[in-house]
Amino acid sequence: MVALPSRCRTGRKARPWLARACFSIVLASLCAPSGGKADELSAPADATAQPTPPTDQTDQNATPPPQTPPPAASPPHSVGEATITATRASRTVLDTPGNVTVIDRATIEQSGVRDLPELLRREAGIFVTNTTSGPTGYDVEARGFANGSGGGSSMLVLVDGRRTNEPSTSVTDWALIDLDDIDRVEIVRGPTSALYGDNAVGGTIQIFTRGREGKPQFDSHTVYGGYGKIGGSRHTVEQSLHAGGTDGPLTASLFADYDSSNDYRDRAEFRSRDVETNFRYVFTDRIALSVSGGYQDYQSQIPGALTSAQIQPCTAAEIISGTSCGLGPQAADPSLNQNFDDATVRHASMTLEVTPVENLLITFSPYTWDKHDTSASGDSTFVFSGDFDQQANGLNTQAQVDAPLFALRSRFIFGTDLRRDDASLNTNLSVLGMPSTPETSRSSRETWALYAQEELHLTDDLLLSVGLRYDEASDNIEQQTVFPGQPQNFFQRPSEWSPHGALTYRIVEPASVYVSYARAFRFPSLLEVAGVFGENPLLVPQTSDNYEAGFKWRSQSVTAGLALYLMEVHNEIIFDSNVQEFGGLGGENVNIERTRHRGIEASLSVRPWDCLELYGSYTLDDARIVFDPLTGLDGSRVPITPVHRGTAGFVLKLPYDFDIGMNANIVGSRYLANDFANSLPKLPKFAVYDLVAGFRPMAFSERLRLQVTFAIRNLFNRQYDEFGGRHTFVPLQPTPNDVGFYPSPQRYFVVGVTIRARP
Amino acid sequence: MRRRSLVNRVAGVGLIAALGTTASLRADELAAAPPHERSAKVIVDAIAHGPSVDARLEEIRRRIQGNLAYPPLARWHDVAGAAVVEFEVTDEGRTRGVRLAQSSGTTLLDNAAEHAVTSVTGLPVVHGRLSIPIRFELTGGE
Repeated sequence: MVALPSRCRTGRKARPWLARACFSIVLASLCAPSGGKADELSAPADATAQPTPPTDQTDQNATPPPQTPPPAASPPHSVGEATITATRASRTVLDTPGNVTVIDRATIEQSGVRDLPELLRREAGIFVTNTTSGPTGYDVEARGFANGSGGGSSMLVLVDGRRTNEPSTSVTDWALIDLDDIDRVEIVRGPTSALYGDNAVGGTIQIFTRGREGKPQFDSHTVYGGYGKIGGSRHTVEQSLHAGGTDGPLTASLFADYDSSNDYRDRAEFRSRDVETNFRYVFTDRIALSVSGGYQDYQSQIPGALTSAQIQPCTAAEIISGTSCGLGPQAADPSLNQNFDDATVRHASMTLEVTPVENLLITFSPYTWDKHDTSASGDSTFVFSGDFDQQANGLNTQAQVDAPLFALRSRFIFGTDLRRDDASLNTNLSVLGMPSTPETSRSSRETWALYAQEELHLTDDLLLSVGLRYDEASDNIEQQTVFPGQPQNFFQRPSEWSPHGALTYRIVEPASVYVSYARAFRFPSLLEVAGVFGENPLLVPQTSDNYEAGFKWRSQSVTAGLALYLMEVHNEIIFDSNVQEFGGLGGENVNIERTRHRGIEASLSVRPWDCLELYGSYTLDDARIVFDPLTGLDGSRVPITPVHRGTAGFVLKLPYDFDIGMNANIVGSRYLANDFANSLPKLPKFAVYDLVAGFRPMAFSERLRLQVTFAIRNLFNRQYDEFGGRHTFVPLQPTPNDVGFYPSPQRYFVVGVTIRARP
Repeated sequence: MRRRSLVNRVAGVGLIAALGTTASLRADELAAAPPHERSAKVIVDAIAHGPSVDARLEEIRRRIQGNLAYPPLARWHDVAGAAVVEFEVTDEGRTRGVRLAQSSGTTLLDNAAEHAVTSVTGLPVVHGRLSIPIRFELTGGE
């Protein structure tokens, strides 16, 4: 007989009908703690003499036991507690005028996923696709901007404040973001260009790496995963090590990771190495310096697309009779055997924080980043190979002031961003039936930006946020091309204003509503303007006016969010294969004069008992081309983004530190990439179920902790294609063989073991 | 005999004080014992006439609290927590032997807690080892 924890007892008392149900009894029994081992370890011996730090400052990686002073014959006499209180600097989720989610380290570890995009799939509003079944194939967008084409991104991704959207493509390479090195992820749906500028249109994902202050700690995380049987040829092995801690004013951390996998598809091998380090030195209570740097490399293969006939596996009869048949969903595109992308990345950054007066924080953040890619890609009609060198150098400066304005609580933020991007491309394009075409391109973009934001508490419950940012870029392009009519050298200077205004009202204590307007933009990426494939030097910046209203509820047992948005997009940049190039084949990056994105994002998480969490989300994205005289498209839906999708799941904590969870990811039908006319059959809807089980004893001892996670992805072995599209170099009326699909992984398992030690 | 009796009583006070129940003791009763017979672990009021020990301890707590400042960088980073500092009070009303008995887990808060105790002045004189939990709290959060 196990005693019920207090929350379960409360719930049963409040719901007598539920208490009478057998389900409640069973569930309540499962809620029971496993002997209170964790509490015994973490509870201080004397609560009055050893105050427990607030939860927001405890190390989320582990619950550190209190530093108990050595026992003395007569302990010092306590004079009583002294307390000092200050106003929290960060804005709470309820006071943020947007649809915001925070994913912490504990959630990451519980999820059992291998890559961050896998975790982002579960979030309302975020849409993830993968074309390789490995880490290099992810694309993460929001609010209808996952259109499956083009070289740019409308999702801004920051790691420790550093922009990861690459200079040449403006797309984030998710293979370079290691889940084991992440402490926290903050997702803001909708535009934030008023603060961050370029690319912050559909959403912003801020990633904070591990390396916070705390006691010295060492983590080892080993992952093994596979398709089919254990020990099979298609498997994943990943090993990461993380060590860090604080000694006096210095906090240091080191992270190393090795990943070797043969993913679901043939020719989907991936090997990567990653070393990251962070140092932070606190000179005084007003000055601190952080320095970080890293090196990463990977070698990846790209399996390419299959036709629907190729995806069908051969039947026994077909094999016996020797008749022509398919290859199966795990096959790679048989027409190519050299699709790959090898990359090497180095980066370093520094942040100096100074508080000359108590309510003023000034930060200086210079950074440098460079990447070298060697790659080849294509299909049965062309091969595109090349060497890419990209470099980004910048300096971000920001000042934040907390000072009353008109006797009202206020925060003023002012900042400048300076950045220089360089991209050097040496490429070769081989198109079937055409001579090989080598090209070189040297492009650079210098961007400067000024921004200011004011957050004014009109009353205790009403917050007014206004902001304005100005970005100006100078693009210098030099290229050598064999195609007539393409400019050799040109210069352009795009610029954009990004205003923002919002009102947030706390209707009751755990709930708030907001309305907002924001203008956002994305500059054409250097590759869209002056690459080799679909380049268009006449592209102008994509801009959007976003109107949004939302509701949020955050209590201990219920977290809910609802956002309704309308985004009028001007000059949306899309790769359109309807625009003829190369004598009728191919396509071009174009500005669609006007598109409209509107939708609903709803999420709900309920914890009826401490041991059970139920969650779900629903997203509606209606993205349509409203008017485009160039292509003549009117009313067509933007491809790839489904109109309806949702998630549902639960996490149940079991006795003896076990837990189990299930997640369902349901995606509606959507048009194929490049099918702007909406004339081809849709990609079918699918539902994928994942099962996750964990064993997470709080501690074997104060210094050693173990965590084991077992997950089965795609539990019911559903064969589906997350992504597909009309091939580019095909006639405007394609045959079935001109449509390619990227089969998504069928059932596979992942086992992860984390050992955490404190010296 | 009276002197011996007082010493016994002082030792008794030490036990009681360690248990945190000094409310009934008078400072002048404790002060009569010569310094060489005082236990370092015993809280003794060194002034013959004045407030009670509890009143003096409360005054020490109040003065340290008044000397506290939230570290600016800690506030900007939403760092909160609690530390415990041990110390003694000199005859001049200052502190000595300041030691961080329990870390908050954050250098900024630990330093601020130690600084608040080290730099405080004008304390009522109380002999013996004292400790003070210092809590840094942030409001306006969730």
